[in-house]
Amino acid sequence: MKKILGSLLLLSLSLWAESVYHWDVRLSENKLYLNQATRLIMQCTFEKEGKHDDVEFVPPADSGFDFKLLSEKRHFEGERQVIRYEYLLFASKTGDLSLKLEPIMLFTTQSAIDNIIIGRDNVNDLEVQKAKAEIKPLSIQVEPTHTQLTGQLKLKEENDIQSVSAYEPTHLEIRISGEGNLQALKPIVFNIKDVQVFSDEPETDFVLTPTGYKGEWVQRFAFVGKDDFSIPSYSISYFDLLSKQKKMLSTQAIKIKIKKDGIKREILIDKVNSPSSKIDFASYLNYVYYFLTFLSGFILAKLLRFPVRTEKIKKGEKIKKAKTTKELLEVLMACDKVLFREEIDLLERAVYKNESVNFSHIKGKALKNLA
Amino acid sequence: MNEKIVKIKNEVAKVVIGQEKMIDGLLIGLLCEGHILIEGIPGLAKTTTVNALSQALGLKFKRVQFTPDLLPSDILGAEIYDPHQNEFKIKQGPVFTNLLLADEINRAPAKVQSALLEVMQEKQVTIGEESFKLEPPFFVMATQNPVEQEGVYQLPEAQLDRFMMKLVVGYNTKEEELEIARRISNKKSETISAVVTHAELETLKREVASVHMDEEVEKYMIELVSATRNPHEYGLEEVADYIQFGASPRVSIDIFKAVKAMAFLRGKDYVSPVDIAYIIKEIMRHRLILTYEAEAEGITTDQVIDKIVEAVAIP
Repeated sequence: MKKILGSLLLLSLSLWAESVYHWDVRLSENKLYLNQATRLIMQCTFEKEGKHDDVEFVPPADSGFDFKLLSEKRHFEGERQVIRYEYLLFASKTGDLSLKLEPIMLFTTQSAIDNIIIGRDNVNDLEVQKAKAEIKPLSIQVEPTHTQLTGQLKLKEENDIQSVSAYEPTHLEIRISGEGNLQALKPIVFNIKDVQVFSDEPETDFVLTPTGYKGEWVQRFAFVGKDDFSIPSYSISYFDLLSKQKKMLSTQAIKIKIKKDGIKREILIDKVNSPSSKIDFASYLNYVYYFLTFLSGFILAKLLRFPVRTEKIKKGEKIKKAKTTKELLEVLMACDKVLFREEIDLLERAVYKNESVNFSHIKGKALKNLA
Repeated sequence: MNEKIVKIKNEVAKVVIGQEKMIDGLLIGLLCEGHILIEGIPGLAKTTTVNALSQALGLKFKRVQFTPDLLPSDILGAEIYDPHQNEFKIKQGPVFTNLLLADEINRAPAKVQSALLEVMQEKQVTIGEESFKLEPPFFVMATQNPVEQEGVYQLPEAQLDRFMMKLVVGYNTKEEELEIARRISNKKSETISAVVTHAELETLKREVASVHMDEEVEKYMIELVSATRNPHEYGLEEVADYIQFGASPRVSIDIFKAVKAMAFLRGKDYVSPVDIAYIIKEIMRHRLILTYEAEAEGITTDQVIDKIVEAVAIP
């Protein structure tokens, strides 16, 4: 009995024995400048018995790097499972940094997967054994730059008009393009005395590449003033990776001239608030339209009633046209047997019993009933 | 008007106010031994009128409330085992009566309707291996709710044809309704007495049969029926497209019988086209089958009949 129990224990231990795996971790650059990006490739290759195993990796916080996932792939090379992560790391601290990566290895068995699929033994969660993978820390040297931005940038501004009327807007577009940590760009704020500045939220069109963010950043402005004013110059500094030095990019200050014949603010406000003294023909046309609609509805209602009246008139004409008692009887029977009941009874006796009746009196009575 | 008819009408008028057309229609059915279908929304004194008429005539009266779960044996009767006598006995159903009120006939399914309509035609019931002749007079007065209401089974056209007349009951006038409300609130209960014996009823029937009908009037009736089948021949192009099937020969038979009763009720001893005009809608309205075009345009059989009466010249 003891032998059997011992062999079962050994069997279960061998089933849960961690499969053999190998981590290959590489950085594209080990020497960086602050905010510069470098590519990290982490690849785990399992031996063939590790085909059901998995990896759970969460980038370490406060490591001095901002992790941006470029890709995560799983595939088999023959019977060996390969899990590969690619990250872009932006250096956020300076100095000699040690980056410790601790992916969690998840080990399971075919029978544990079967259990969860067929619901054997009321199993709800996959039975998994976890273990930290041991990866040698990476050494990275990060140089300071004294700038918020690192990369290769271009600055371009565009102003549509420099001479406007008072309260007429002039527009400015500031466009920053290039490559680097463009995500760090912040919205520009202009403060100009006696000038109303309207601004859109910056528009971004970035793509994550192995060397960092690449694309364009655009912010648009509208300036409204009553007197001449100047749009100040805007400058940004960045660390240029090509020349390995700090650079400054600036826009030119733009002078906006307000034309003398411009519209006065008071006139604009009066126009909005006070009703016009001129005759508003459009409103009159609306009244005419409403009146005509009402009139056509009224006429239509009258026309719809018309057939009822014509029906009555038709019946009256038929009664008038009747020349004999039989004809009159026929007409009255066809018109309304209940309304002309008395007249019908009299005419019936006259026609079929030869009783004498006052024809014109009956006719008159019938016409009176109809009315 | 005949004295007996006046008595019957006065007795019925004790409990029913107005609805003269319905009472006349029921009396015509009674005098001609024709079955009557009464259509109207609930609460228009359909059942009360039929009940009052049966009491005034001193006839056996039974009422069956038609429901969706009613079975033919519930009306006709069935063979029931008697354990004391150790044999099957016939339990006669409510159909064994003189005046049967089939209330809300269109609430029962088709098999029950056809069981009843078979009895109406044959005036005989077969239960098990035994056949029973129904005691004359036997006639059915069926009420039905308008088919637009929920939970009803419309009577097939072939079965509708077995009813001599279809009376459409409308609302009372305002004055009549006021009188009804006053009577009900005063809780006046009137007792209806039998004012006609069975023998007198048979005499009335004979008198109706003896009402004179001129050959010209007879031809006029046939012309009216024929106009429903061949409207083009009578210049009725405007209604020709609305009629799918014209009136059946049963219509001619029933008009022949009913107009005599109509003339009799009007106190005459001869039939004139006026009598036909008064009764023709009740006889024909449930037997004309209109086309889809007529239904789509909201044309009713009553409108078509009006046009036919207008188009055929009276003798």
